[in-house]
Amino acid sequence: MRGRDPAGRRAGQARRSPLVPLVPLALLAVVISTAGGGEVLSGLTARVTNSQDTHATGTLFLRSVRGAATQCDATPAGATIPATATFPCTGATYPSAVPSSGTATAQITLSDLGTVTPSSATYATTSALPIQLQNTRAPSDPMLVRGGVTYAQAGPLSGSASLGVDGSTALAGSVVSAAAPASQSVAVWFKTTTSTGGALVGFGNSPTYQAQTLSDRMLWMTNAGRIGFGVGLSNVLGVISDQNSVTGTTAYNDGQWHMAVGVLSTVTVLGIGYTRAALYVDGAFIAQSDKLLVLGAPASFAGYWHVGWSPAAANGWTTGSSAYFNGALANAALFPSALTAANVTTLYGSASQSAWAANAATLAASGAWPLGDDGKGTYAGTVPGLAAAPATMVAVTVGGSGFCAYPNLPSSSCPAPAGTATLATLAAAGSQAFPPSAPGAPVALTTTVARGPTYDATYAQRLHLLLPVTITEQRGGFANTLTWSGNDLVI
Amino acid sequence: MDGNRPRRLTPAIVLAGLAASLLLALATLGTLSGFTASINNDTNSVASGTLLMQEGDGVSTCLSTTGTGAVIGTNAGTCSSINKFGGSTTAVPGAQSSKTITISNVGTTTAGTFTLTPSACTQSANGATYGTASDFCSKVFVTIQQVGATACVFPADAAAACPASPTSAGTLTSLASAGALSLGAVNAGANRQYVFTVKLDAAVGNSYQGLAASQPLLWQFAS
Repeated sequence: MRGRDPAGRRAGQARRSPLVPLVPLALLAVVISTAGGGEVLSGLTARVTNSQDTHATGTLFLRSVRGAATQCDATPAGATIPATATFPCTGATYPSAVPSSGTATAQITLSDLGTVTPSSATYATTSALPIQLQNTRAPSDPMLVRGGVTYAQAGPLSGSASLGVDGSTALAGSVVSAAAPASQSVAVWFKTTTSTGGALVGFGNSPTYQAQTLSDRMLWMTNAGRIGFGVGLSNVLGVISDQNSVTGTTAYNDGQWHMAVGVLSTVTVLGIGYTRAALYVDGAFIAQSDKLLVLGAPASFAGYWHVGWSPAAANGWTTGSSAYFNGALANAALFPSALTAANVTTLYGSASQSAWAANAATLAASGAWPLGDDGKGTYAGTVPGLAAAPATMVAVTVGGSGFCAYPNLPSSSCPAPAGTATLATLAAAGSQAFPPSAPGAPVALTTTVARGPTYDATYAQRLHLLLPVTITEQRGGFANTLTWSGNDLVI
Repeated sequence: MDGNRPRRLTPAIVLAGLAASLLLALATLGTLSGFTASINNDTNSVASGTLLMQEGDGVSTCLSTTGTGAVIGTNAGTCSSINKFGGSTTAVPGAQSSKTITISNVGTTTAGTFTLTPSACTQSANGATYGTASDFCSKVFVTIQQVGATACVFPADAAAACPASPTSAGTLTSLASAGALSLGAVNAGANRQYVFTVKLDAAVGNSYQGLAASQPLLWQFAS
């Protein structure tokens, strides 16, 4: 009995723990658990890996089409989308002219070529001012364009541009009424192949082609292409009673650029006073005409300068040409003195536009219209002859099927243009909401114009108004703004 | 006389002993017994529990098991059918979306630890044209809220629930750098619901168009 216990162990043998066999298993578990990077401290794990947790943005690419022409497209040309949000458009959203009766319309179609549906769309005509041609010597006296002009045509000098005039409706007139001095020189570059002549530059008592009764100090081209220069002469009563004019014999309607200069002066020869009209072409003296001063002094009346037009025949002149000039004009300039032949040669020798401007300044030009403007400059002053801004005289609506952006009628089409909604009120109204386009659902936007009840057919007619338009469609920070800077409406 | 009696008894005792031995032997053979009792242990076995994870969003279900049929494989499943960030392909600035998912312990063993480990967020193009921005992941705001809990899982806030609208305090970029998020224990048969809310920064512009962010997430139980 003493030698063994009930378990069979000998006396003195150590009692072994029942957990001893588990030690190797525990060590194995530790090895396995740590082998996984220490993430798991247990032999039992369950994992689910989500491999598709994604979030991606869409795209918003707005396009405008008028007729068959794409005006602008925000779709990037390459693979990457720039941060740019504004996209300039070619062409116009407005019709080209306001008809004398009825309405004119223009329609653009806005398409969303991206994947995002915009949450808002706005339309704005940001201003409605007459288009001007700058006067680099007297900035407050620009010319306002009317009728059929084309901007920024090729010019005669390096760095210069010109104004195209159509020979039937186009002219530009200054806005400051002032009397012309007794001694004066007027210069202009011209290019044409016309056989109907026309006034290159002239002075008159009206700012526009209507209501002018006095024409003076003109350079013109005869139907044969010859250049003439003439001044009106006033009698002792101040009434224009005579003319002093001179015409060359060479034809210049050869499609090349030429420079004409007319010089008006009063001279004394052997103690006798004369009014002298001298003509230069391409820097060379052509001819001059003297008339006794006692029979008529250079006319003096308040008026405006024009290019491309003068109603000479209607005002008693025999110029052998039509009133309107068909061709291109550049660098019209006035000098408050009689330029010398050397002065004229210097002007003609200007190698560039900047040299021309410098020479004009040296010769103290009182006005200088380069005429190469791009049609984006506007005049905010009072238009001569008009009692109100011309933009108040044109009625307008902008809308589409079932909505009207201006006047703003969210759920109905636009009414006929009326006097209460004009280009002036539209420009003042700022952005107007309209239903945005969506992918696969383009929106057509129609602009309709008509003469308003206050339209002034004498002084407003054929003025050009610049109507910059901005259309924005956006969804939060994803935005496309389309801009039309060249909306040029003849009213 | 005394000396002879023991000698006469000896054969009898031997015979009696032999008889008794024979009886005992017969008795053990059961052939001569009338009453018996026995216990037969026929179910002596040891079985392990299971730790299984299931993820669901009401439409799709994913399991951790990867074995064929009822076999538990590596118990590390991949789920590509439940997109925690909504999977939008046309997200816009300021747009917000939420996704609610349920993680269930469908095994028989309690998960002593439960973690969510985000991987790095990667940016890619969403289509043939794409924005030039390179920090898209940092412009996607995200919150992770356990349904019914007062704390916000991400961005971590033990004292308050996640904001209703995600902010720059929690982005896909910062989620990746947060490491493993400890989500506590999950008993066998229990489940947890989590709401993932993502929002594209309202201030982003056109250079963020056409971009995609992707970030794998790892859910893990350990017993």
